[in-house]
Amino acid sequence: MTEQEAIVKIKEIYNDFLSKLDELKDRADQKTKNQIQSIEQKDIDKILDKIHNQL
Amino acid sequence: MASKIKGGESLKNNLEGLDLEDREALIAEIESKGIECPDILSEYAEKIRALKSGLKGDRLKGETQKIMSHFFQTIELASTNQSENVRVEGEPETAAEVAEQAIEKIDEVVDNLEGLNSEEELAAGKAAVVAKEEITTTKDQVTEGAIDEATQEKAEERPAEDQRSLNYITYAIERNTEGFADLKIKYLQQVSELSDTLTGGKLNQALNKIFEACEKETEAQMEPKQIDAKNIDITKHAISDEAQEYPKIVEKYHKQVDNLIGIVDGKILKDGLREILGFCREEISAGGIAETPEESNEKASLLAKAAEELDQLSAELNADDYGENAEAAAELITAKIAEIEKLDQNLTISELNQKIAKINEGLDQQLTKLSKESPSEEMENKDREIDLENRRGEIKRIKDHLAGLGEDYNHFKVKYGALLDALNLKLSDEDFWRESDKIVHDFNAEVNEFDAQEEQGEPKVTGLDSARKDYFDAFNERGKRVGSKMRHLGVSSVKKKAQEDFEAIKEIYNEAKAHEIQDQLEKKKAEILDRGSIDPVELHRELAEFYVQLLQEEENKIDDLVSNMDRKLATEISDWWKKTGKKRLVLGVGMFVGVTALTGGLALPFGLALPVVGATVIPGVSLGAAGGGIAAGLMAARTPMATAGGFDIANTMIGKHTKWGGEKGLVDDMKNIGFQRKGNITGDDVSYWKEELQKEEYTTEQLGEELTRLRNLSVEKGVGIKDAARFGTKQQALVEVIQQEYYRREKIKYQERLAIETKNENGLSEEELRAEQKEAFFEAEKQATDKLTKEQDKVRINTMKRHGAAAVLGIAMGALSLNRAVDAVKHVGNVNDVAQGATEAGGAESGEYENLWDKHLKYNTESASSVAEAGEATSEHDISPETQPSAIPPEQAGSADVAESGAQGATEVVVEKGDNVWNLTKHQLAQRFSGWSDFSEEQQTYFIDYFKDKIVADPSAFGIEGNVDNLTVSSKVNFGDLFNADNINQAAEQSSNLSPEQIANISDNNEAIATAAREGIQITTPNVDSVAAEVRQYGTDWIDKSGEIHDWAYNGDPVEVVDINGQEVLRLVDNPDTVIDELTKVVNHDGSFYGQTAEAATEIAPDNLAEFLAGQESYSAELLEQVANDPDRLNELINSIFEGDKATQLEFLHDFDAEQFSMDNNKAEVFLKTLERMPNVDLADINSIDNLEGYLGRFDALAESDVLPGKEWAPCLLEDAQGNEFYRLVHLTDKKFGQNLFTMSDTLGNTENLKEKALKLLLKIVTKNPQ
Repeated sequence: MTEQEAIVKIKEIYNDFLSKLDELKDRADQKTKNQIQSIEQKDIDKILDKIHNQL
Repeated sequence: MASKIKGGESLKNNLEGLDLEDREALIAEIESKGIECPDILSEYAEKIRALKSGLKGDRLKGETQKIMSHFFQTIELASTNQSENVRVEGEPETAAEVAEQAIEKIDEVVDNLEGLNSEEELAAGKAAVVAKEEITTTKDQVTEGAIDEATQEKAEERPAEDQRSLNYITYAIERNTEGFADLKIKYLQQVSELSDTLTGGKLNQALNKIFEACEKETEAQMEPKQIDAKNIDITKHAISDEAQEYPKIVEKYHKQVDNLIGIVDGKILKDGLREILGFCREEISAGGIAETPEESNEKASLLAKAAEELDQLSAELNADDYGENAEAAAELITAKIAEIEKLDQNLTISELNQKIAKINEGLDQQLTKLSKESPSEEMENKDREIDLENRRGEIKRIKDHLAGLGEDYNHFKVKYGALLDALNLKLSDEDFWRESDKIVHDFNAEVNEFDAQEEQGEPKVTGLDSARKDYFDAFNERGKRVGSKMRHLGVSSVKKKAQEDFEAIKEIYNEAKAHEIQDQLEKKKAEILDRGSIDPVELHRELAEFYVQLLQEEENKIDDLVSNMDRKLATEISDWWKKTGKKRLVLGVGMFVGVTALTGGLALPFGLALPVVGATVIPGVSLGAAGGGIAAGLMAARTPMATAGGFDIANTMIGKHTKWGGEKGLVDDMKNIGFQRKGNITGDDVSYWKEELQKEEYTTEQLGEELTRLRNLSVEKGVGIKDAARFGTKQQALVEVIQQEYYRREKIKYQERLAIETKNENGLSEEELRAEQKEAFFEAEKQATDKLTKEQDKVRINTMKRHGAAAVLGIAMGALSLNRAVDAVKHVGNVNDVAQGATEAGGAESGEYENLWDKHLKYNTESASSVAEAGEATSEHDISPETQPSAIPPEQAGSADVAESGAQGATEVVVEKGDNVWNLTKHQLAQRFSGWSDFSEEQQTYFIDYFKDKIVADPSAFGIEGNVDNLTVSSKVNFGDLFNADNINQAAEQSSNLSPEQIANISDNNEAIATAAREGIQITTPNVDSVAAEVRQYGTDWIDKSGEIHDWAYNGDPVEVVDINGQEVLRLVDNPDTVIDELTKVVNHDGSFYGQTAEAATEIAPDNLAEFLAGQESYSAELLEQVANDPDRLNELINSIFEGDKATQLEFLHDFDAEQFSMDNNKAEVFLKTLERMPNVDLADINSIDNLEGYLGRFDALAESDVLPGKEWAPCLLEDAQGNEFYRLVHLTDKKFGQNLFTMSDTLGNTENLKEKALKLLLKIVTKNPQ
């Protein structure tokens, strides 16, 4: 492999790594969102239950 | 470079009220960063400002630090980006520099990860490690840049073949030397030098040599698994590289490689891979034009027919017509068959026809030339006649010598007589005299040894012993070892010599055994007659009893022999199997389990060692009768019924008894009945079967066949015949019942024969009678064994084909090329020739698969109109096997909208009592597919499992909250679009590629799970694999109701050993009130009983404890062993050890539990150090096993805590990148601004500092910061 080819390949590897990292970040974000949503949903359910009971 | 950061002052102002020291440090840190990023500063200043009003004291400080930690990570990233820009301007020159920078950046990024949770953080860490490795490898490859460039130029001039070899070897070396940079340079340089000077075959040879040397050097440092993975990768790479213009070929051969993964390993795998690459190359060189299965079939049958015709010709050859040339004529035909087998399968059908015609051209004339009528040949042979005279003279001379030997040497007479007879007079001069010399030499050596043994009074290795060993060695080797001389698979193979050798060895053994039995019977007869007048009936009874006893003794000797045989190839795998069989099963090694279950728990590489039921002559059973047969005057010539006839019947039985060509047999049916009833073989079962077998419906031949099958397995497994069955020791009793019944009948038969014989109605002299009987016997024997060998080979080949072994072995199998056979295996039943064995043996069940696969394949290969039909069918939701979705174009399938149809299955279902994911999924599938019931049970299982796995992987996506194994009644499961076309296509594709082994595996698993469920065992997602594996191998005895597998069982119920007030108590797991005191009935998986081990332990208990306690003796592992089973004495030892020195304590811990306190994991050291550091704990206080284990429990809890260590040293369980666990003491050394720094100590004086991120990557348990 020539120097130039190697440099290109190394950059590719580095970029791939960064993309992977982005993916992981997205995944983590998504999980957090899901969690929040689920908590929110539960809260809403609780409130609805409460209202329902009061009614 | 360092410039003051803008906004630093304002931040400082906004931090009034915070701890002064923190603030100053913070500002200093910001300033030192020296980058311009006002936005970031103001954003965080804002956050700090917002904090100030609401918080006070420590909380304020904590929150501030949290914000600042984020700030620093952000600012560092910004700084990294900035420096990146700077560097880009200067554009690094070499790959090494770029690599260095890239690695640095990766480290920085990982150190500053933000917003990830632990799982992603771990994944990021791992990705970083991988990326860095790749970068390093890439950088290293450049070091030979100059060589590369030069070679590239040359490559253009080089012939394509050479270039291909160079590419292959270069990659192979690179792959082999990963991590060994120096070796890589060394071997690549060697390759480069060669490529300048050599071409063609020489280059190839030299390259192979270099690669072999490279492999030798590198593989020594690799794990077997790494070696396998590397070999797979090299092969796949070569396929991709060499067939890059033919994507279909790449796909096809990659698939073949994948088929081997997990099935074979080591050398076998390597050979298989080579074979596959070879076929791939052949196909490429033929232009890579893939042919249709029909074309392959036609070619295969064309070649098979041609070979068969020649076979037929060979069989009809009348030796008398050819005289001395008979053998040459046979060889001529064999050579022609070989030529036909070698024909390139890539030729077109008409080309093949031409070639076959050419091969056969002139055969008639050549044969006529060899026949006696050819006068010219006679003339040609005249000169040689003189030499033949000399040769015959030599043979006679040696034979005369043999004849002059006494009776004790009878075995040698037989053996060497046969070898002399086998001496080929047509050998070249040199070969003939060498062979005859060898016979004389071997004879002398063996007889000398025999004489020496006799003088020393040692037990003699008789001729029979040596013949038996020779035979079973050859038998074991036959058809099994790659490259073995003994490997021969039928008359159509070229290896005629190997077959002859095998036959000769077999004959020698038969003869030796016959002589032995004859001698013994004659002696016995004389002994009985010496007692005076005796009733002939009584004489016959005694002789019959003695005869059967001799047969049994021979069987026992075979047992001894096969149990201790040097089985080379087989030994390693078989031993491994024996040691780890259960563990491996529990691990659920999918395919392998399937195969081993089929082969009766035999872990030999599938087809290689598959038993050939009833098709092999095992003289211990069938030829045993031979001894009687020629016991002069004692019995009639052996009837064919006991040999060929019997085995023909036996072969028919195989189909009835077995699913897959005879890996299971009568004994499995017997076991199965016990199995279903109770799960263990009881005395009742044994008596029941004793009576059953005496009934007429079980013929002697059937019993003989079963014993032959078991003997086959026993040879393969290297165990005695009683342990040869699938369920090993558990079935011993049943095997014994079969043996007893078989011998009982043999005895009666023999007695009857004796009675007939004494009549001797023809009035022959005893000598004449003997000669006639002997001749008749050998004639019958010859016919039988010839037939059997053919049968054996047929079955063996079929078995191999069925199991895909053909690809691995590279054996000659009729006229079919191996890769085609492998293809055919995947479509059992489609390629008639190949799969015949499978369908025959598979009986009704495999017939079902055949139809389905057949339909599926047909569909796949049919024209576009069929596809359109399939589309229609799909739109009507008719996913029957005829319209298996794998062939449906995605766009059509997608529009089908299968899942949403209310009529076909509701998307959301309400959980009712008794529902689980499995049955809900099954219900959905059954509702949605009209053709569901046409699927075989195994296919259905595969489908359900496929979708079930998807649900289990992400239960919440389907609305399942909580435990997926325990659905809440009235909750809802929403299948959404789970059953979309993509998923269905994928499941169908995968299920259509199920190998026979996988199908059988699924079927066996289903059976096992059903059995477990019937026993009331709870099946859950985590335990289903281990329970199925356990049931398949050992039944349900050791499994408790919750599905946990135990070591001990009593009367079919699992037993646990518990400690109650220092007393070891055995009780039933599912009924803890029942305490077991019959220790000899508490058995483990190996069949040994609890009492055995306990007794054994107490037996060997010489007392060294007293000496140790008195300080007269130092501690040793033996001492621990001595006291290990006596709690009181063990406590005394422990008490004394923990009052003593640390070295002894360490030694003791390593011995106490070598796995837990391994020499590498440092646990013992860290454990002791932790205890030393604990307040209120004194090592000297440890005075009992309970005490020690209590501390260990506490230690483990600490080491595996999910909270990061604070300022105090705390033990931590860590794991390195290779997954090795180790222990360290860790404490927080610096806590500045969230950049937590830890120090790690191995307690032996070695410390290491690391950041929190790095520590978290090492920690085995996911941790959180201390509260």
